[in-house]
This record gives sequence, C-alpha cells and structure tokens, in this order.
Amino acid sequence: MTRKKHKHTHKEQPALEQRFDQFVTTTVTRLHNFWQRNGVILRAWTVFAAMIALFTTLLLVLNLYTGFDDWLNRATAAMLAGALWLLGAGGQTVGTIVTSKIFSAEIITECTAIFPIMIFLAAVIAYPSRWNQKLWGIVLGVPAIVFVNLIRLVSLFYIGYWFPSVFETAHLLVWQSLIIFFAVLFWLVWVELFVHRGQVQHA
Amino acid sequence: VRTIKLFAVIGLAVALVAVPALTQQQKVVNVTCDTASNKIKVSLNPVVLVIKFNETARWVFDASVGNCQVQGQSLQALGLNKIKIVVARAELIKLEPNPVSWPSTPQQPSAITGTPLQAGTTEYSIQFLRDNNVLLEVRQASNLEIVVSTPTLTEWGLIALAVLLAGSLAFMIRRRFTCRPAGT
Repeated sequence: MTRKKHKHTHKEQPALEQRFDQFVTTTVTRLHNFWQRNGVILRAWTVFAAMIALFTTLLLVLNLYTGFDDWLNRATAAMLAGALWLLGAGGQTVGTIVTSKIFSAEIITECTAIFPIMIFLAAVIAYPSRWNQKLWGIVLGVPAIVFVNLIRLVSLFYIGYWFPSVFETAHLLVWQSLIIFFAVLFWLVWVELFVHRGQVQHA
Repeated sequence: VRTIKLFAVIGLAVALVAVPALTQQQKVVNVTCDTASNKIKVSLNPVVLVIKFNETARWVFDASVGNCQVQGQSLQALGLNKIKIVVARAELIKLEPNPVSWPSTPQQPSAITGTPLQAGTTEYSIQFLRDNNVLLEVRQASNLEIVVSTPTLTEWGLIALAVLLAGSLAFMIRRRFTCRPAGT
C-alpha cells in the first residue's frame, strides 16, 4: 500500500485564512463588547492610575526644585504643636521635630497626609462627574484628611505617653486602617452627596 | 570568574552591614569646664537634646572638667573619679558605661553613649562623683527628647488604599449606570 503524502491543497488555504479572519473578528467583537460593558470603569481606572502617576511626578519635581516637602513637614509640625498646646501638653517645634511635655516626634513627609490625599484626589478626578462636583470633593476632602491625620498624630502622642507598649500597634495597625477607612468613607460620602444626589442615571 | 563572584558576595555583605551602620548618626555632647566661670559647661545647641531613633548620643567629658570649682576647690582636688548621667525616665535610653571613670584612660575614654529604647521626653542630670559614690557636683542638664517618626501609611497601606478606592470606583460606577426596568 502506497503511503498517501499529505499536502496543503489550494482548497485548504482559504479555509485557514477564513478561520484566522473569524478569530480576529470574534476577538475584536469580544473586546468591543467588553469595552461597551466596562468602558466607563476602565476609563475611570486609567484616569485614576494616570492621576496617581501625575501627582507623584509633580510631588517629586516640587520637592526637587522648591523644597515643598520641607514646607509640608514644617506646616504639619506647626499644626501638631498648636493642637498639643491647645490641649495643654505644651507643644513646641524645633524645625520638623515636635516636642511636648509628654512625647516627641519627628515629622517626615510620610507623616503628613500628602500621600493619602494624592490617592483620594486621583479617585475624585477619576470618577465621572462634573468639574464643580470634583471641586467640592477637593475642597472638602483634603482638609478632612488633614484633620484626621492631625487627630492621628495627637492621639499617638498621648498613646506614646500613657501606653508606650501599644504605641507600635496603634501606629502601624489601628491608625493605618483608620486612615484607609476614612479616605474611602470621605470619597463615598462625596459620591453620594455631591454626585449621585438627585441625578441617578439609567443607562 | 569564581573569584569575582566571591568578591561580589563579600562586597554585598559588607555593604549590607555598613550602610545601616553609616546611616546611624551620633550626637556628641561635649562636657567641659567654662574657663570664665569655672562651672561645668554642656555644649548643647539647641538647649534641648533631641535624639532620633536611628541616632545615638555621646557625652564626652573633657579633662578640663577637673578644673571646675566647687566651694573653692577644684573637682580634681576633691577626688573626682566617676561621672554618671541620671535620667528621670530610665526606660527611654540605655546609657553605657554609666558611671564612667574620669579622667580618660587609653583603655576607656571618659564618655557615655546613649542608645534610644523608646520615644519620649525626660529630664537628665550629670553627677560628678568620687570614691564610694560621694556626690561632688550635679549639673542639671536640660531635657532629653527621643523622637520617632510616625508615617501615615506605609507602602502597603498606600497600595491597600489605592486598591480599595479603585474597587469603590468600579462599584459606584456600576451602581450608577445599571439598567433598571421602567417604573422601578
């Protein structure tokens, strides 16, 4: 029995091309449908990521050319010292170091609210809303996060004095979770009160 | 090639040990005798001694300390041979060696090193002693502040916040643009 040699015939060639065309068409259609279904979310995520990248770059440039980080640290230290002074703990600043009758801390850029604010602002800008609504988010959200951070710093001073053994837990575990919670909460409150209120859309 | 690899490993190990060691800074406080007033002088500027958590403090007692006068006699003549630092809140800082012998010997310089243990603020004083811990003079030094930095969010905290906000974005967008049957 002679062995039949397999060859690509002229008839098989268009079939392969046809299958390839079909594959491309299906993929494009699927991607198009996916974009149709999730386009708003994907666009928002893209803007969110781009805004975080933009703010980070901006912060690096500002720190490099204007010493913004030093100003920010001093401003946070001054606010903290003022709050401690009001509470009777005798807060004072020596540069970026805050001293008081009870506890002392050095304010570095990571101690300020700048990084949570950057992420919060990116989320406010990324959410589909009008510019005046975004402006409300910025105007109310930024001071709210700064205020929560101030409460965090003041509370850590008292925790460091009264319960030094739980200072690390309060700082790393409790307050980190609370900062995340408040940042997300402020964003949700902004969406509900300033964006969704009275303008529920039905697609 | 093997030698190069060996040197690379040794270099990396040295760098891993040396870099943190180099970043640990030391604040030096010089304790001398003020020639004008013949009183103990502690060099501090600003007056409050601030030590960060990655720093150590070193009090160096100069040979001139013995010339300082107490009730008309120099400390050296009174038999000064030990100096001790007394901290009100001893749990904040580890002082070694405390007391230290005075004057300096080739084996042991007359200096006390303080390593922060915990953040906080405390008062401290320097005691000048002779045999049997007889107190000759006390120099009430100023406050000692051990400072710590408290980052708002660590890198993992920031990642968690970004992920949660991205999730909230998707959730709220989906909720806002969900199709609803008419009349509901």
